[in-house]
Amino acid sequence: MKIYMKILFLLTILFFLFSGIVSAKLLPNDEPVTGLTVEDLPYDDGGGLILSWNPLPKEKKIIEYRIYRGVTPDSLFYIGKIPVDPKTGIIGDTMRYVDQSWVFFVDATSPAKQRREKGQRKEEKNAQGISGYDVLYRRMPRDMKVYGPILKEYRILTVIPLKKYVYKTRMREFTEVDTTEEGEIDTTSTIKAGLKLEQFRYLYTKHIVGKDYYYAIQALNLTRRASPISEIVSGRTIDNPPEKLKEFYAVAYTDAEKMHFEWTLPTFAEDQKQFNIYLYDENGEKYGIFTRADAYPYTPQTNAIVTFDSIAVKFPAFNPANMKWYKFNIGEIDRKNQETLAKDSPIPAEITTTAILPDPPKYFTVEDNPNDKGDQIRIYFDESFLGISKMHYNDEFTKLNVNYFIKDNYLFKVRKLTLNINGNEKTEYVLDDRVKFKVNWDPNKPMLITATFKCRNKGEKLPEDYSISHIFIYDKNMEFVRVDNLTESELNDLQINDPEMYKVYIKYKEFEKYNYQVYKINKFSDVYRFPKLLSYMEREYLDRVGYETVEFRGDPRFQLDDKRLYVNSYLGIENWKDEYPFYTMAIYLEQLEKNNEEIRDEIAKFQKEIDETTDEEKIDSLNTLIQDYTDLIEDKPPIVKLANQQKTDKARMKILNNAHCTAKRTFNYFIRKTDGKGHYVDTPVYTQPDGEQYLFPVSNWFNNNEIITLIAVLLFAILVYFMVKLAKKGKKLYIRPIAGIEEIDNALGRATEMGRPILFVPGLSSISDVATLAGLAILSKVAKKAAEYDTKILVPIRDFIVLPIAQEIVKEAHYEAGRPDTYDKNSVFFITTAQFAFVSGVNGIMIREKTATNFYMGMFWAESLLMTETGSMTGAIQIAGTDAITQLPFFITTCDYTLIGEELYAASAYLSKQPLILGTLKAQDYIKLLIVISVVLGTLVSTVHLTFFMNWFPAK
Amino acid sequence: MKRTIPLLIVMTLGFLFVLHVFIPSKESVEFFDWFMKWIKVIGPFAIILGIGSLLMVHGNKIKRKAPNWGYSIVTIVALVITTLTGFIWGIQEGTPYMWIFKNFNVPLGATMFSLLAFYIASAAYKAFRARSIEATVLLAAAIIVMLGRVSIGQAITHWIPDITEWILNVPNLAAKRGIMLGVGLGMTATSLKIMLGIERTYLGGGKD
Amino acid sequence: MKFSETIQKLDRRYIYIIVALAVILPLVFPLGFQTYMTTPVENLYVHIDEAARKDNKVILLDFAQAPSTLPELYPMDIAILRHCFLRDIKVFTISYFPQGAAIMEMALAEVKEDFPEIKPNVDYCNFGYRTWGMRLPIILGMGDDIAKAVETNSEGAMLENLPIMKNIKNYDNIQVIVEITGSTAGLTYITYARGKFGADVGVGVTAVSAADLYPYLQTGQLVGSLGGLKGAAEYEELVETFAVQDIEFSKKNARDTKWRSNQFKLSEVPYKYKKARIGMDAQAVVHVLIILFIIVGNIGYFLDKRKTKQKYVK
Repeated sequence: MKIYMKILFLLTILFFLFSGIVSAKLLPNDEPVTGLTVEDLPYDDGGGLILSWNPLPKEKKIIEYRIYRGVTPDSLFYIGKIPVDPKTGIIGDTMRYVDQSWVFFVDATSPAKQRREKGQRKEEKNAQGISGYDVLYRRMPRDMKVYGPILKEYRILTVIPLKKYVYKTRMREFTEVDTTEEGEIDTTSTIKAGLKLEQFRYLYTKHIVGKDYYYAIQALNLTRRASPISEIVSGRTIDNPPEKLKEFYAVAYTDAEKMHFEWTLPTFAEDQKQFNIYLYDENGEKYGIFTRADAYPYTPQTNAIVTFDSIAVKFPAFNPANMKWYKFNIGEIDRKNQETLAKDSPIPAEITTTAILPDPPKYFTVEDNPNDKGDQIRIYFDESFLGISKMHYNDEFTKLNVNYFIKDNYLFKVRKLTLNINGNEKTEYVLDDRVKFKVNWDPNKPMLITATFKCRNKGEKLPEDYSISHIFIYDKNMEFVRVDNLTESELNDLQINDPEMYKVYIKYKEFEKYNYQVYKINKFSDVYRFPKLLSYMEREYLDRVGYETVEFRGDPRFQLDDKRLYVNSYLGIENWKDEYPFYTMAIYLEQLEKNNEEIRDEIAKFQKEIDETTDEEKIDSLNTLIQDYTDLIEDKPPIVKLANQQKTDKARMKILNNAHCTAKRTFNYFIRKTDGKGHYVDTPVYTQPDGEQYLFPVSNWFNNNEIITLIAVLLFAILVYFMVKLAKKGKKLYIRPIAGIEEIDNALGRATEMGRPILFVPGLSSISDVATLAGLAILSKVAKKAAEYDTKILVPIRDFIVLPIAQEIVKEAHYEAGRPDTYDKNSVFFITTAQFAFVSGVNGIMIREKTATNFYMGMFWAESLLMTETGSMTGAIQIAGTDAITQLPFFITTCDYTLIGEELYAASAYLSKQPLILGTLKAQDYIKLLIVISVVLGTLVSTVHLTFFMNWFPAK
Repeated sequence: MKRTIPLLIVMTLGFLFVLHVFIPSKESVEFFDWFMKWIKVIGPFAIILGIGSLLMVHGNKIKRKAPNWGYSIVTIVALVITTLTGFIWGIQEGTPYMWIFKNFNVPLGATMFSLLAFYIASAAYKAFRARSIEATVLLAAAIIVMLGRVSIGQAITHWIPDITEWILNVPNLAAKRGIMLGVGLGMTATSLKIMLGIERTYLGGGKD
Repeated sequence: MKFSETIQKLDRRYIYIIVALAVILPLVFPLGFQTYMTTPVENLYVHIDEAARKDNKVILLDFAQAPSTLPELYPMDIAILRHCFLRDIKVFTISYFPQGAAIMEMALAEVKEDFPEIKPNVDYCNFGYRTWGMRLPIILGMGDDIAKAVETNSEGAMLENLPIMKNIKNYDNIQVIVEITGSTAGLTYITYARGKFGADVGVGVTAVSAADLYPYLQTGQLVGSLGGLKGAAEYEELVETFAVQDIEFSKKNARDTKWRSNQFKLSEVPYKYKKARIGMDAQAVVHVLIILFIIVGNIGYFLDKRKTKQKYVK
């Protein structure tokens, strides 16, 4: 028997032996998971259930717990798993799975057919006598017959790619016949937009309150054997009232005659619909003084301003002088109108004046961010900030190393920084985040570091006296320097010994307390959204205004006849009078008449309400609504008019969609500076120089940051052109000889003499790597010479796509050399994509075939030395070329010749001697000279503190 | 024609991608993303070529009873078994495929990798020679850096780790950057050559 | 055969055997070489230690590891966890790699064995595995509210309700984030957690990536770092000398090898807590061995060269 047959035999034996050992070691997975309970998740909107169960013992080597859910106990579908590391098992004694909020239901990637879960045997039954075989199914299939009827058992949210919703839907009218309580027959018909399941991105489910859902758990062990199914347990959700709040603050500003309220959000803020602020008078009588609905969707508020006047409207006996007797509380109301009061007992207000508030952010500007694809808005404010990230003394306390960081913005881009510690001044021209100071002070005393800035001039000038100061002290115990963070006793000492510095410290601490909240609003909302909290250090913020890519629609209807899911067919359009609310427009032309009828009904309903009420405010708002609706059916808004004039749905949708996306992506902004405790100041809403407040981000056609790159590329191209022209004219261009390339001929000759093959490895990378292309270019030359000498060439390949290219190159080379007969397709062959397996393959070839010459040209990683060292053992001549810097040392020590970095790219030029290629090489040299000059020049001018040259180049 | 059409595709797409660098607009970004998706699609098809080549080379060897043809059987059997286990039982944790991966692939790969230590030692012994002044400097630097990375260096003098750090941060980094500059330029030049159709070996060498 | 020839033509296999012995022997019989401290490791230790027994400070450990980097990084995991448990420092652990999550569980289980009084969700909290896609949202979200960004721990319990979260809100309460990683170190944390919220970031990396950290250490964007097995060994040693003995850190003592060697006996330290130091012994021996190889190889080369020259002269 040959050795490899032995190996094969041995491997097979080992395989069975080991699989035997592995399975023998395992305890049988024959016990179901116990203790499964399903409970309602507290404080939520009735969408969440918590499952908990006892994990199986560690010895069972469980790798995952699979969770199944269904609306009836006889068919449960897989919804998720918890993977477990079989080595460690589960540390605690209960495991939990939270099935809450929107959970993936079905999409185009779901399996086609309803399939039973595998790995279950009929005879394996749980305590209830149920076999998993009978009830467990894999993921919900995309078969409408299966998932369609289940849709009504959940709240459903569909996510539809916008383009699909706009252009691909099919209209359908649904007529429903109801018998009303009085026995009248009422037909309602609705028009809906239908899409096939593949056209949706996802469908999500959420539990319906009060409905029973069934769950079961199954555990898989190391060999993926499933345990018997757990007990099937049902649970139902409750729409709980909101959670109590952790923090709630009330502050009364007597001079400004207003109150500020601020609070934190509960965990399940999504469910919050509205909040009410209550005032309790001296007798504990409760008055609602402020009410506001939250912006939809999911953008609850955390603060409110209430003026004394508006309090007086709701609470006529209000007297600011009695403020100290009043108490306050806030009630959150969820979508089911359940109210929770934030505090068990109402709190008194902090009575103060606006004098304690900081200045509002200055220089607040909102503008389109340049050089982007039109999805960012740039917001900046206030003067530059300097923070200290680290400070340390050397062991002898003679030097202090300061690491700083700068936060600046477009307006005040810092160009020069001056730091002052106890009278020692250092100016930073090149902002490299570190400065060294010679220490001539007592390190044990608190010290003051002050920074002043020189900024780029963009319209505004930084005030001359603007500076930032930090106090630091050396901590003897911890042996490092603390910045802006003194202990109680150090602070007391400072107050006594150095009151000036104490004041600076307190001022900084005050400054540190206030963070920035960026607020924005688009044309579909009447309440500002709070998208971003910025720390006190931030000076610039890029707000992402992403392109609209999806539409959300709830509760689809399914139709088995055309296999479509039908959703609501209206799209939001901004109010033409720049008011809230916005319009919802029918998306189909045919729908128009019906839509107008509905609006007329609506108007009639409003009219009826007006007749019944006496509330002035309500009558006003209803009248506005009636006016808006009348405008709409009379085609007054220009967009509505334009859209209604279109002949096709497609043209209509294009207009509506455009208007919809523009309005959704148009924002105005303001900034609130707050300490989170009811002390805050606002900037006014930003108004652009042209008087407009709303801003729509613009998509740019040129990236100005890349100008230098463009110039360089153009310069390079021009140089190439001239050099190629020169070369074509026959001018001799001098190129430095490279030993490795000149030796290629000799190396090939040697192989021919010895009658042994040559090996060529064109790197391990893919075709998109330029090094691979360079390697292949060399291969073409080497293969041609090898064909001329009639020497066999072996080319092992790691990348699939490189394979046919290399084959083609070697084939062409043989044809060119006039030796098509000697070409063997199998001389260029694929080994494997696994890095080290590839190496062992190549090494095997070197040893068995006794290759005389080895080429390594292209990209290499950790495997390089493994190949070259084997090559040097077999005594082959080795020539390598790579741009992988980390592998160069290995090549240089073990190969006879190595092409370093760009020499690899130049090699094909040397070998071909074509004027075109020589020309580019020469141009490359000149550009390199230019780069060297720039580097030297840059170093020189920055050394003498001229940084303009450096600043021309974009920092990457 | 066989060359002109591919060359045209290369040139057009090359220029479009260069433009993409300078044009940040939505259309440009969308085109780029759309194209990247197509590139992902091409990959899996190439696997067929690779496996075809593997089967052909080794099939030929077995047919011709070429020297060492038995190893080819080992290769093909391994390929078939691994693929089949993956297709039949899937590739999740706990399947035979995963078992093969963990118990054959990973240890074999690790073995090859750990050979590196031995090869470094033998390369140091056999090939690392003070042939010239440059090589001598390299040798001295290597010794210092190796000492500086372990406690013995510090035990001799605290200068050794300090010098190690300096060698890595100053001369080493400078040389690295120098090479990187050249590499970057070389890449640009090669890309330019390809885009302009000057370099066309990747299409199968030779003239049109 | 002459001596010089013997040296020049020595069979590689002898070299392989010597290397194998040089690796194996120190692992079996630890040599107990001294560990010398470096500033980045001391800084990280100090930063973590500062959270000791504070109610409103935690350490966040990110296990960005795969089994392939286990030999270098696992001792770091163990040493840092041990430090925290010894000094009553609260710890959060999270991983965005499925394999990293398994390593995290393993490390927690291994260290917890020796600390029966340390309770999950009170003294430490394992956030478990999160998908890579959730990484940035979580890192950014933690600047606002950790409980909201992370939501649940590895067992599925809501963070909000856990005792450990009592005084913990956002990055202000995170003393330092330590990412222990086999790839690009800490960049996301430096850019977002540090850049946007001023959180302190430290890293533990493999020796190969250690050189890339210098710029970040120099600018103070990283408060400290552990580089490879050496960094792990230093940290182990610091924990052994200060945290185990319950002594406050002092740079003078840390640098004083004599003082340190009197603090404990290495032979009495459980194996899992000295893995890195033992590994460093092997590494040191191999480094010296390779240096010897270079020297011996070159002696042979020079002798040979001289002989060849002499031949020509004759």
